[in-house]
Amino acid sequence: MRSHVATRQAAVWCAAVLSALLLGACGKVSVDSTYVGNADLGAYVKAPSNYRTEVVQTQPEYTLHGFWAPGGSKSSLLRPSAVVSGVVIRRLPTTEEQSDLDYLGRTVAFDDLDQALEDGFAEVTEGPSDTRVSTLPGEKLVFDLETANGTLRVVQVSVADRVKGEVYGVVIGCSVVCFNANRATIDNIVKDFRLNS
Amino acid sequence: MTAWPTPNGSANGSANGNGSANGNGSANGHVATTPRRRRRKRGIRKARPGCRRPLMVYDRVKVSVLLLGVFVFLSFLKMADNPLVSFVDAVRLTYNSYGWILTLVMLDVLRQIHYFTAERLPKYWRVVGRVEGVIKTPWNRLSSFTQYRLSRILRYVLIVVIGAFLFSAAFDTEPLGAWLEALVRLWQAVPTILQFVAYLLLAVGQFVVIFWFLSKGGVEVLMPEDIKTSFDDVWGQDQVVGRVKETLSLLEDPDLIEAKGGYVPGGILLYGPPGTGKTLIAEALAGETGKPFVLIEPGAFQAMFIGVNILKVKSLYRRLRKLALRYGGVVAFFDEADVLGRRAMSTGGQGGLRTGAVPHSFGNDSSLDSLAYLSPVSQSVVLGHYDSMVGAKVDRLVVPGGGGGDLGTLNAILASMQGLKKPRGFINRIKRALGMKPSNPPKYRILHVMATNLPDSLDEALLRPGRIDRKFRVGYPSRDGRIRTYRGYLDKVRNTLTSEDIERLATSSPYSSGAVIKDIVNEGLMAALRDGREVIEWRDIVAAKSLKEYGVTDGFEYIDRERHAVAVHEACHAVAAYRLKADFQIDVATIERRGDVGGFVSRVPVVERMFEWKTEIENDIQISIASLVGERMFFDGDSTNGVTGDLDNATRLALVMESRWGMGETLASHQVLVAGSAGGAGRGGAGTPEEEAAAKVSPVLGERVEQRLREIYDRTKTLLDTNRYEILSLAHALEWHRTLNGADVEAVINRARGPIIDGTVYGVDSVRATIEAYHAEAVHLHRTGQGQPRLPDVQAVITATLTSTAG
Repeated sequence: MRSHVATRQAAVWCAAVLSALLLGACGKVSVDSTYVGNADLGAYVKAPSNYRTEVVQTQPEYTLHGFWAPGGSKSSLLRPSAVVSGVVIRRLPTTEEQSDLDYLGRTVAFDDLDQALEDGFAEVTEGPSDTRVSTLPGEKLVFDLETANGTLRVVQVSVADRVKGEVYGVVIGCSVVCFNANRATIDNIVKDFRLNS
Repeated sequence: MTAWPTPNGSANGSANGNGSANGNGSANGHVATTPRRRRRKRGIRKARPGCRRPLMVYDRVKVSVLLLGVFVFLSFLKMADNPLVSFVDAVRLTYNSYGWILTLVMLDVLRQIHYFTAERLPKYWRVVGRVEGVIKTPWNRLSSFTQYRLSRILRYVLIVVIGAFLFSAAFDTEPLGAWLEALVRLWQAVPTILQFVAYLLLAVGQFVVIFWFLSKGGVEVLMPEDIKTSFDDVWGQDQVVGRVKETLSLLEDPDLIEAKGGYVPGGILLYGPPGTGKTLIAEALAGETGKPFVLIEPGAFQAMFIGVNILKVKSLYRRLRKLALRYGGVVAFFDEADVLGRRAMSTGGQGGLRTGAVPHSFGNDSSLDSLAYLSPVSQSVVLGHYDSMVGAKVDRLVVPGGGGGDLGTLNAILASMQGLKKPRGFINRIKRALGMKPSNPPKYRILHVMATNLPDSLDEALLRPGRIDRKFRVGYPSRDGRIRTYRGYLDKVRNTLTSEDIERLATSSPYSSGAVIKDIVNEGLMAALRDGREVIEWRDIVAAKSLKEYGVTDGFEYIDRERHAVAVHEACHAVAAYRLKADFQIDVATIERRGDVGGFVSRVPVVERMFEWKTEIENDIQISIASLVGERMFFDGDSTNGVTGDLDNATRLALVMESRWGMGETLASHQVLVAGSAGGAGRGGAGTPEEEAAAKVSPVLGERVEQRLREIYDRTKTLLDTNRYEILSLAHALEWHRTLNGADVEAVINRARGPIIDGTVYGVDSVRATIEAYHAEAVHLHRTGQGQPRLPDVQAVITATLTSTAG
């Protein structure tokens, strides 16, 4: 009988403590990372927790989730600024030209990249090198793209899913100085690139 | 939402906000009577004085568990949405998005702390309980029905809200549009769902189709114009027909009885021996009624698979209800109802009594006679009831119902015949699902008519009033009924039978049913056709009746000496029967062998009676042992073992007279004495208690029986002595004709002219001398064992006598 009473008293105290903890825990809690992408997109990356993310575009043929470091915004994605920003992309071929998935993968973020490379507005600084993302073969390259606001240095990993006929990619970039300064963070983000398959 | 106990400890209301009726509300009833251990086992505890009644563990935790479950579910959704998310981060993200869930958990924990305190601290509960009482008062003022409705509405609202949040989390939409999104997704999934349902239907459907086919058959619906038989076609069952007509008229016009506070009988049982017209009455009912007549065949509910018979019953009653509603009533006829309504039947004793065939009671005993010379009461004693009357043990075997009448079928029929008057139909189901009151069930006027020749095997529940209200015995037709029946069937064929013939025929067929009479007439027609005639004569009917009632003879030919002994044996029975029993007439006497029966004399009652007197039973014994007395008298003290059955019969009758019927020297019932002693018997002895008790009770019974038989033996000897020549003349007639009908037997005894035999010849002196000489020769040859006597032709003797007289 005495043990019953003790148990009940302990239960009362536990409940009280739990309640106090819960009451004290009101408010937001911090998360280890910012998670970009979802099941609908089928591609995911993990950014530092202070990054923000938002769905930029949800059209079936071109879905785009953006993320950026503090100081950035949805409207300043992949600009040659001092803020790291990037996108996770899924694209479907919509033109005959894009039915070449390798081509589509190369130009997953910038449709005119090849033209820029030909015209000398763009220059590949690293790669392209083969990589694997979630068992699928892909390509990684770093290139500089001349824009009206300066040089944008970009790392791009693209993967072609030939079964589904889709291309996935993660593209992260900022100004050359910024890129070099945040190279480790950028590489970490690229390293966590995952696909649904 | 909670029905709180008031601070003084009593509970109010039955609705229970803590979830269900098995919470506080139902616990109240158990607390006062249930032992403490059982209460603890069920988690129900008694309230402390002045405290709130303790909650069950389930009621304590269910809300928190539900909310935490939702929270965990949402966390897993986060993880499923992005495989990079760790569990901890998923929980954090969920908390950031749905922190209010944990707030609700926290509030519930506070509530439980409040309950916990109120369950233990009377002071706390006294104060808080008053506040709760005030809060709850508006709710408690509502009626139970309104509380129930409101609770249900709140429950539905809660489900909608929770669903909205869950769907919004799953589909990443706003809660307000979540249900719409869910419906859209459901619509998109319709082809997949339909495909799955199609597979399911294909798998299940084949069984449904098989069972549907199996549940059909055995039931036939006849409309009024389909059957032409009427009650006028039923002969000899006027009493039963009248009652059936009465019941039918009530079904046709229910106001006749319902307007006066009564009700239309729901069922009729027609029972009685086979062939007495039960089915014919039902057929006439079908022809006379203006309602549909549903014929249910005996094998209708036999099924290969378990459960199909129940489906059949349900299908049948669904059909009956439809017909009853459409036509204002329906008649359902269950032929051979014992097949359907048999829960368990007892077998034992002997059947076949009064079926008209030669009784088969002799078994392996070589015997000359049947029981036919005994009266019905004596026959029942000898055949079936003797054992139970004197206390001998009869093993009865109880077997489960045969045929298709298993328990499931019977129970389904019982439930359908007068089960719960529940609302039926699709509309009522919809109404009930919507919480509306279903329509009152209509009045289905279904008249059940059951026919059986085994009424005892029917279940009591089937026969109770309300199911089968009226039970009519369709017995053998009365003499007038038999005359009417004979006339009816004879009118359909050409015949020369007079009214007197038909009346005599009816008298000599006391236990003939309509079917038997019809068969006899048909057999008579065949006999006439066999003889090259198209007109039935008396002899055809007599031959047909003999054939039907006693079977075909073996064609066995006795040697002359034995034939004379058998004839004397049977003649003794016949003469004793004729002289002693005025209420009976001899139907037939024969020395033609049929199986183990060497010959027999059959009597039929002229009038139908229920009881017999002591003197009449003694007469039966005299008729039984007349064979032994006669054999000894006519064969110088010698006798055959053909009297075995006769002595058995006589002994049994004498035993029952002495031991049970109060016709002997003592009054006590032997059966009761044995039954009363059986309780203390059987300890350490051999045999059953009943046998040991019988051995103790009846040591002198055998002596009394023997003494009585000797007295009757002497009386019989005197009777036969005075009828010596009648016996010899009848024996001669039997030897000459082999089989005599009753009228001819009487003619020989009375030396008168009979329908077939002229008995006056036996009054001629020369014939008498010849017959005596023939008997003396037979006895002499019997003694020496050599040679055969020569049966004299009495007509030749008369002719010779007349010639010598003329000369």
